Amino acid sequence: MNTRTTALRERNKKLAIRGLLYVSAVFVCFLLYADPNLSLFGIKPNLLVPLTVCAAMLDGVFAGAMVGTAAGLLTDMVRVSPFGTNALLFAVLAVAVGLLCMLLLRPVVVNALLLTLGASACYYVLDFLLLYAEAGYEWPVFAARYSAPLLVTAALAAAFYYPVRAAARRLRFVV
Amino acid sequence: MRKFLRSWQAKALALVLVLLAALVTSSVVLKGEESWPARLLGYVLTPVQSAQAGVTNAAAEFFDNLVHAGELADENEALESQIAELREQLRDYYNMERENKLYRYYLGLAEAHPDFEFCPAGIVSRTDGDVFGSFVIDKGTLDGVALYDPVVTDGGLVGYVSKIADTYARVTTVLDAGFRAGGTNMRTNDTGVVGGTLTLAADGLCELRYIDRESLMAIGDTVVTTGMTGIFPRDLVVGTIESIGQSAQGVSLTAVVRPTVDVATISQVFVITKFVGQGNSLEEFLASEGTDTSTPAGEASAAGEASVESESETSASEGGTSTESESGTSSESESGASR
Repeated sequence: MNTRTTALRERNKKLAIRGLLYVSAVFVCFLLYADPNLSLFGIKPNLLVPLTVCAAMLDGVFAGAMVGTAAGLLTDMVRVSPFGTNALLFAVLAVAVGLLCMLLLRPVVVNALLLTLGASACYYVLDFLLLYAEAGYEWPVFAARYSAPLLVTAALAAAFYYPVRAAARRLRFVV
Repeated sequence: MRKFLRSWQAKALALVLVLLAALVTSSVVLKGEESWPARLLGYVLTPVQSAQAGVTNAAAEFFDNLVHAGELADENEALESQIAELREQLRDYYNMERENKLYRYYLGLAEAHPDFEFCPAGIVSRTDGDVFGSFVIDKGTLDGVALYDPVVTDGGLVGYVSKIADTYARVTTVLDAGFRAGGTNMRTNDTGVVGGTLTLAADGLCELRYIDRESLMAIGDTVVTTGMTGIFPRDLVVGTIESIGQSAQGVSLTAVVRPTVDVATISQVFVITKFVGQGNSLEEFLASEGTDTSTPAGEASAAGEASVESESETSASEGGTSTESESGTSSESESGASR
């Protein structure tokens, strides 16, 4: 009984720490993304996409979907999309990544990069549709405007993969 | 997979997705207005984002200044030289404006007196503590100015050149106690001698002396030069009469005259270097005809006022100090013969 209680307490403590870490990470990534003065050589990658993908890969479908929902809601605050659109997209992408990693893929860095590339493409296509396609612009605009952010966002998956994996191992997440 | 789909997490996830779909739908319906979850998030995020933007703005500015320090220094140097250039242009503009004003006066004078030849001059210094207001101009013999040349402005008579050098000259004004010029009341044609006293000079005034006591002149009358000495051309405005009184001896009238030109405030003058009648004094003319005009009053007696003779001797003794100090100047200004 005592062992079970202790284990329960330990689990709850780790859950709390996990939650706090994810909330902090989402918040910090959002602030870095939304700041008007920060950019990477003029490019502004959305840091919340690789964070969501890595959380879904390394922590499971549910955790990834929660992180994705929070990340998407914050992204909606600074985009022109109707509020909730990016939240829904990020949640769906997290579920997809989580299920893929559960069934088909191994949670390795290469897969993290590829999955982030796919997720980023979905995110930027939605952005293009809402921002440019509605105004009558065609796909070459997508290539011109979003190629660089897409590639940079995908490349940043490596920067998120290792810290999330380290935290998951330390807190004994399901990996 | 099946285990997951049957777990509570899958059900919770489905619920979250449904809620998000509803949120999106409501956002689309609301159009311009934000939904309550967005507003709620805004209360939390906006202060944090403002604070962060303030910090990153300051950091960006700091690093921007560091990175572009060299460019900023070059730009600063370029702007400083541009400012120096603009200051020079401004100075030239003010000079041109002053010259333009001067030449407008010049044009007015030239139109009024077509026989005059002028030399514009600027006042470069004033004698410190001199109540008579004498000053130095920036023109001399090299510019065509000669001793005893009259000095005027568009307002009227200022004085005459009392000392001359190659590049500058000293001007004695109408306020000076040694100044003498034939003056006449334009309205009544009463003639007298314009000169200054120490007392009147302190108030910027001079006087017209040796006026016939039967004169009908009045306050406000204009006094002009007679042109009889050959030093000053005729009809140069001296000033207006402020008060009239009897002379000290009681045999003639003396009028206090306020000069039209405030000698204390002028900065530009004209020297009349040539005019019709210059050097031709009435005294010399009458002397050549055999008329005795050798009196200290000179011009006043030449105007035919015998009663002035005794008074002029008295006034010479009264104004003895100032006359003596300016003796060479006043006698020369009276006779005009030195020319």
